[in-house]
Amino acid sequence: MKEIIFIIITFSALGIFTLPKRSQYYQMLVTQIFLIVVTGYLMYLSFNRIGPLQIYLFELIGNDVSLVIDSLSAFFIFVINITILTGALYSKGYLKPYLRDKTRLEMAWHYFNFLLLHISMLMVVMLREGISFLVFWELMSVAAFFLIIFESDKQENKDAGIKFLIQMHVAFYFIITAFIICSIATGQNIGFDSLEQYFKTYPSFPVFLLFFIGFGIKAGFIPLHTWLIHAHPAAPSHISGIMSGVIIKMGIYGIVRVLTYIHSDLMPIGVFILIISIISGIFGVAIAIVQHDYKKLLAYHSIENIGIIGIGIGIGVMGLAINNPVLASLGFAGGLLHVLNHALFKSLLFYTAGSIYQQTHTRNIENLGGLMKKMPATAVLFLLGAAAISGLPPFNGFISEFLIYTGLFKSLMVSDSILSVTLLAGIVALAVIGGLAVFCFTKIFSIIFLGTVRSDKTRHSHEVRSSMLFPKFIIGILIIAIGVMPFLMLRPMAFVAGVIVDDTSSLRDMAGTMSGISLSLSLLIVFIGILLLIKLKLSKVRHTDIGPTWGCAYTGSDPALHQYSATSYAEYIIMKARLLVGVKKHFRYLTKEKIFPSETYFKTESSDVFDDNLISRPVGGLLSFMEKIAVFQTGNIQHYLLYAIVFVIVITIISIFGII
Amino acid sequence: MIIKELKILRQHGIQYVPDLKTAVLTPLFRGRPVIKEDPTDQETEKIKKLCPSNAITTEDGFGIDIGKCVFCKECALAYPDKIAFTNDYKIASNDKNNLIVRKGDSEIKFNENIVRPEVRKLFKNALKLRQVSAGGDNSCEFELYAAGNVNFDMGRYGIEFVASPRHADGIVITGPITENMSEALQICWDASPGPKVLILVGTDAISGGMFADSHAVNRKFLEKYPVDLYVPGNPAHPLTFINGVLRLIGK
Amino acid sequence: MKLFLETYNNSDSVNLADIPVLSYKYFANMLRSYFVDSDNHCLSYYAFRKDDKLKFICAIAKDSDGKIYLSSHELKAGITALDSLTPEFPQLHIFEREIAENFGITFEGHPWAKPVRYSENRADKIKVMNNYPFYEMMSDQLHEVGVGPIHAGVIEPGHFRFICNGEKVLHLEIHLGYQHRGIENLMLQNDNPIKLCVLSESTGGDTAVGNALAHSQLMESLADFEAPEDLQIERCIALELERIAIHIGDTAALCTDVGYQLGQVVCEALRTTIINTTQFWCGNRFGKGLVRPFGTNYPLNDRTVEEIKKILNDSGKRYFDMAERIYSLPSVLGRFDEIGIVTTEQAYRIGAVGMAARTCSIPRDIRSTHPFQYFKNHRPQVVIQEKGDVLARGMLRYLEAKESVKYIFELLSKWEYTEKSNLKPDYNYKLKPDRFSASIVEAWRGELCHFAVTDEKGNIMHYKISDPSMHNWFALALAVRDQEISDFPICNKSFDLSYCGYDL
Repeated sequence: MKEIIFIIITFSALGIFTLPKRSQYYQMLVTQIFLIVVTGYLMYLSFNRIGPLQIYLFELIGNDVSLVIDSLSAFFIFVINITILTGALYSKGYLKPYLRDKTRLEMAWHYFNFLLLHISMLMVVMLREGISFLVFWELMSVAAFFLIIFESDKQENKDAGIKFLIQMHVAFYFIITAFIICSIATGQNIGFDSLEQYFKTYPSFPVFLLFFIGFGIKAGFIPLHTWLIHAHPAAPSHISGIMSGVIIKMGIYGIVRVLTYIHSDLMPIGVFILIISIISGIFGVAIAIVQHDYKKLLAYHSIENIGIIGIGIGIGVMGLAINNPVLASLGFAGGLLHVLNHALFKSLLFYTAGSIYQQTHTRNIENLGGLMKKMPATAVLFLLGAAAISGLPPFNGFISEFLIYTGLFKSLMVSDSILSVTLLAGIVALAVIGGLAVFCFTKIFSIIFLGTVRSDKTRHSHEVRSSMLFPKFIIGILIIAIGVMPFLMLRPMAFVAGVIVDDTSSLRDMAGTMSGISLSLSLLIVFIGILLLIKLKLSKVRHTDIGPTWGCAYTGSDPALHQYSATSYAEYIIMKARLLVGVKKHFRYLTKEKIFPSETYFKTESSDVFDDNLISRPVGGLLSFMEKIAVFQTGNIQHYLLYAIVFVIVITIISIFGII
Repeated sequence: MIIKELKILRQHGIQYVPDLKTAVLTPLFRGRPVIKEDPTDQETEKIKKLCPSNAITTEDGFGIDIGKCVFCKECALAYPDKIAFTNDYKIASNDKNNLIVRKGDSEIKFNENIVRPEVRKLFKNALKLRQVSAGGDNSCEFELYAAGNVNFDMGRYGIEFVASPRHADGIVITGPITENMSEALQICWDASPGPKVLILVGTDAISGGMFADSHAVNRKFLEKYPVDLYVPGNPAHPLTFINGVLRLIGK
Repeated sequence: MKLFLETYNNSDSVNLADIPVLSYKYFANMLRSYFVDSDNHCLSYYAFRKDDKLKFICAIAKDSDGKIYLSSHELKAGITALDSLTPEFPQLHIFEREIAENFGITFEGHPWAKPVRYSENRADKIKVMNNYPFYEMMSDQLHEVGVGPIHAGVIEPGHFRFICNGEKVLHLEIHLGYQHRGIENLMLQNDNPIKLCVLSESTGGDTAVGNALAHSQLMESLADFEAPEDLQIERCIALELERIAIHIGDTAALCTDVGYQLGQVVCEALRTTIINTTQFWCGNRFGKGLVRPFGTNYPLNDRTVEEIKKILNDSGKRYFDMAERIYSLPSVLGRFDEIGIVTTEQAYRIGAVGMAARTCSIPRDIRSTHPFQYFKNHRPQVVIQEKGDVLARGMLRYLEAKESVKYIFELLSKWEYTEKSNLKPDYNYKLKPDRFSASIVEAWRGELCHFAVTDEKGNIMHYKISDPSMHNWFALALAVRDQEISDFPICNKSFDLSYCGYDL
């Protein structure tokens, strides 16, 4: 049975290369649906049993390689599948304009890598054995790399892809180092199973730190996030959505999986995760506010949300440390539910961003405006995603943050003072992050969709075709469903959290609160619906005139030019958080002496302080150092022979004198 | 501290005029003119030459058109036995013909028959107005602003000036409507939802006043829309305006 | 060669031919030598057509000796370009722009060559209100806010264009012209002098007494008439009453803008009492009809004097109590202090006059430097403030009102002992031919200038009105630089400049 499935998948994947351009997509889609069905079945099987589902695959260098699926893996399978499915459905419409210019091979390669990404991610969450895990982890990065540089005619995309690949390899080395340490120390095979033994006998923090760095680069914690901010804007939008939706969650999966084996040193680990997550959250959202490129903005938001997930996981670990099952289960449940929620609304946001890009060909929000009238469905879906990411009820972001808040508040009472301060910091941080997220999304939604056009770029925009809208609707329905009926998620999340936490009864106790929330939210929605109906009925009866916006009766220019700009809206944050967000203004203020101003310009630029100091400067320094050394590379054979002779002489002298 | 404020408030006392319809202005106030005796033809010629704004009409007998009169009182000062200016401030009317004062007229009449029914139906208890200064010399604007102050308080009748024409039930024009302002006035009119009233305040608005013949003035706007109320004066006293509007809305 | 003709304010007219006509080069050098000294400032600089040439007249006021210096140059037909003096003396910018607009002269090197009011007799009809060339900064990250012409309150129309970064204003440009009615052309109707009186009052209805006085003074000067003392005293009292009424009204407006309700209603009520006194005196709340050339229809009598004294005692004291309270409240001071600062340097360079100058330590007050009417015999105290912010402008109004109340009482006591002339206005006056006269009045905003030239028949050939707002609008643009845009209404109200006086 397994062999048949394996053969079907392999031939199906390779078969993409043989088909004409139009059919390649359907081949990929069918294969993916097949994968989803298979893994869905496995997921279903794993939920209704005690202990994980084990399926033996094959033998590798003397180790058994099996699929081990527990509730955590099953949960991630669900997240992966739903995001890849919607991404695939969306990509049909998004890639259509590219079909003309790309060759058959290029498109096939793209679809093939898409499929490969799907397969490798599924395998990553289902495998425990070390070598196969690492192989598929690498395959995932490589597949993602090829997907990112889809538009490789632009140099900046290739640079972003290379940065991604290099950082993924750095992450890989950290992970493999950690695995090797565990394996050698315990004498077992490389793999997650050796962790169990290792963490029982040795201090947990150092190796955990290695794992955290490795998986954290993938997840995008600060200061390990610098690949994210370049890769997301460079990739085509359906890939950006999937990247933010699931690829970075693989890092989270890794961290949580490692945590399932740790039973000592929990407090320092928990506090460490909490602090890094708080920094990621606040820093991520603050920089997002000053961005003008909406894809970069959404990328920074992913960092912020990883921070929120991290806060949930951090406090979960702290809960385990002090044996507080309420804190532990609510923290983990909240954090992991946020994984699903973020996958949903972030992919929705990236897909809508892709629709905007397809229509306007610009990523600079200062050039957009008034798209609400031209692309109403996209606008509403974007608004839905924006409200969800800001954690507003009745959407799903609210539910996961609510779980984390509940855990924090419930534990605040029963903790000692130092722990209380930490928990309070968590609450405050979460609140600040939520507030700043609303600030950021009001800015981006209003500048892009509301008002009127700011430049010619939006003149020819119209609503996108329904094949692109359909997957977004699916996501929207799920967002609202989780938001309005949160009690549906309680039992599944209890199972998932049960992998780490023994006593998840507090989650079941939340059922009452959740039902209360869902009741009030449903009433709210019904009330709004009634008001809308009344308004529609009344406006049909009254006479309506349409005229230009009142602009104080100025007849000279287009009132559209007198709209708020994104920089102006963000100016408040820029002023208060100048050091944090690293915004530089290029402007000569008009002095008191200058009565009549002459020509001047105004420009702001923001830079990422970590990107500058950790990556750009050292790399720049290294490159300039290399350029100095490059004088040796003269291209002249005689010189190289000279180097060889010199080397031999030096080695001889050294050996004679016994230095080595 | 509060004590100082209380002292100021006590000195301030009660400022609002209790009944705006029966207030009496100072004796020299130049309100409604009366024609005691018709001037002779010779005198009429001299008065016509004297009048700076062509307010003297001789069709159907001698008359002073207070829609054109700038209330300089020079005619009354030159011929005090024929013409006098009383301090009657109720000189607003909705019919331009009623603005011509002839011998024997004892008040400026308001024509109930030509009031549009929707004005009475909709605006009796609340009338929000948008004021447009289309070349006014700032005295009418001051007086209109004063109509809402603590003394005259037209807000007690629900009459108010609003900032946006979208919220307005009517447009109040002051000034002769300059060429440079004509397009803006049209935009403002179009921006306010119907049904709406049009009120002209001040001599400049009603007839162009001293600027009727200026090339910088473009009064074509007034040819398009019916005017609901004329409030003469140079400037129109707040009591004239308020009483005129109250008559219009039927209070 | 004489470079200029000296004359005094409110004195005899001069022969037009006596004003020296220089070539532009000498004219420019003369102006340079004068404006270098900050004691001199330009009253007005304008042009008019005489025969087939364009005659330019410049009137400079010297504060230390109280003289007015007149000079002129003539431009032959066909020459349409001159070197601009604005780069060296920014105070001339508005006048050169006005000449350029009316006659199509190009001032080369003018840094701010833009239309002034889009007058109906402008030279280039292609330039219309809709394509005013606003200053722009190169950026797609700034936003512009355009307010007007129709503003939220019951005020005159004008367009303000802000270039903003967030809430901070980087630059403000003011575009007026909506109130242009063509007054200067209408003043050339020589058939009925009453028309001219009413027209001058309509130039600025809130400065009716000031404008009527400037006009009457001008006509009297061109007819070689000197007003008797009691008439002079009455005119000064009317001017000061107007000043007090407006200052109280402005204080109310400032309180409205910061939300200090008590200040607003008390000052509003007090203003009503003052203008009702003016109404008691002459029948019009703004004093229209009170001031006429060669006499008055409303001489002061004991009853009116009693009324004035009563109201000033009562309302004056209440206003001073209220103003003391307003300017000691921390919440109000927090909105006024250090907002909208115009430095002394800036005020000198743009040629600010009147209140805008006096709040920046510049002692420009025509009642003191070039006195007219009874101010010649009895000069009032000039009130100066130093900081140039909104608080200074508010305090200036309070202190000037105080000074004016005191001054009116002094004038009233002088009036009692003066012989009453009982002169009625004379509308059959004849003006001397080929004359030029300047009549400057310190209206409540600042120095208001009326100039007239008569032809060989004694008819008015050209009439020029220069409102103090011509100089001062630019001060508002400078005051708002680097301020928050929400402080703009306060700055605008604190200047309270005239739109219709500027637009004519």
